[in-house]
Amino acid sequence: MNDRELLARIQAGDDQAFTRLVETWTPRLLRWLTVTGCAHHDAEDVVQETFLRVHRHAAGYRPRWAVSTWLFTIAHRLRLDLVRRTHEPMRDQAAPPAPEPADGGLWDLARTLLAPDDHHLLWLRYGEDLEPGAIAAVLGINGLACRVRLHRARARLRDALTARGTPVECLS
Amino acid sequence: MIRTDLDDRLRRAAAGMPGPAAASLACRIVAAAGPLPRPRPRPAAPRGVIPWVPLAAAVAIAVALVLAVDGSTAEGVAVPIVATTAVEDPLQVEIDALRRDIGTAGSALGDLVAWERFAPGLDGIRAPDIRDR
Repeated sequence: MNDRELLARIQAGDDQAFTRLVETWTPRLLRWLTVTGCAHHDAEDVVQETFLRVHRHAAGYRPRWAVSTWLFTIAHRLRLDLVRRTHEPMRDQAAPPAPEPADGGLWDLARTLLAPDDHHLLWLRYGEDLEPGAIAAVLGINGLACRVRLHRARARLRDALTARGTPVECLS
Repeated sequence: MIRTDLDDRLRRAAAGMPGPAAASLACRIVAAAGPLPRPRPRPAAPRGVIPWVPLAAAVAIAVALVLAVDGSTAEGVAVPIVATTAVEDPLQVEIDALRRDIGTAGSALGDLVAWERFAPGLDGIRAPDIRDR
C-alpha cells in the first residue's frame, strides 16, 4: 500500500493506517531534522506535532500532492515556528565537524562547508530524494531559485573535494 | 559525469547514515493521537430543489462550446435570438414599403395611395381620410 492509499484510509477513519504512516515516516522525519542540525529533543517534538496535525487535518490532504511533500512541509513549518519561539538556531553546535572526504563524512563536510539552508536543500534532494519542485514547495521558495541553489551547493562541494585532492571522478 | 558521480556519492552517503531510534517515538505519537475522528457523511441535497448553480454552469459551458465549434462571436449568437423574438406586423411592413416607393412617406396622400394599392377590395375597412389630418 503506498502513501496516498494510506492517507485515503486515514481520511476514512482507519486507525491502523495512521499507525503505519507514523511508523514509516517517523524515522525519516527524525533523521532529516537531526541531520540538518535540529537538536534531538526538538526534532522529536516537531515530528510528534507533525503527526498530530496530520491526525487532526487528514481531511485537508489532496491526492495531487505527494505525501512526502505534505509531511515535510508541515514539519518544516513547525520547525520554523519552534525556531521563532525559542529565538535561537536549531543547529546542534556540539556536534563535532568531521570533514573527512570518505563517503561516511561527506555529509559532515557538506554541513561544515555550506550555509545551513543550502545543506538542508541538498539533504532533501539526495537524502530524501525529493524532486526540486517538491523541495521548493516544502521550503516555500521559487522553483527556479531552488534549482540554482542546488547547483551552487553541489558546485561548492565538488570544488572542496577537488581541492582536498580527492576529485569526485576518482571516487566513483 | 562529475555531477552524476557526486550525486551518487551523496545518495550513498545519505543511505548509509544511521537514523536515530524512532520506534518508541512512533508508539508515543500513536498513543497521544488517539482514535481518528470518524468522517462525517456529506449532507444529501434536499429533494425537489433545482440545482440552479450547476444548471447555469452547464448552460454557460454549452454556449461556450457552440462558440468554440463554429468560431462565431457572442454577437453572432445574440442576433438570431433577437431576430426570432422580434415579430413585425406584415401589414405595416407592406405599407412602409409602399410609402418608400411613392416617395411621399409620411404625407396624407401617400397614406391614401398606399392604402388603395394594398387593400383595394377589402370591404368594411375604412381608408384613411385625408381630412383627418
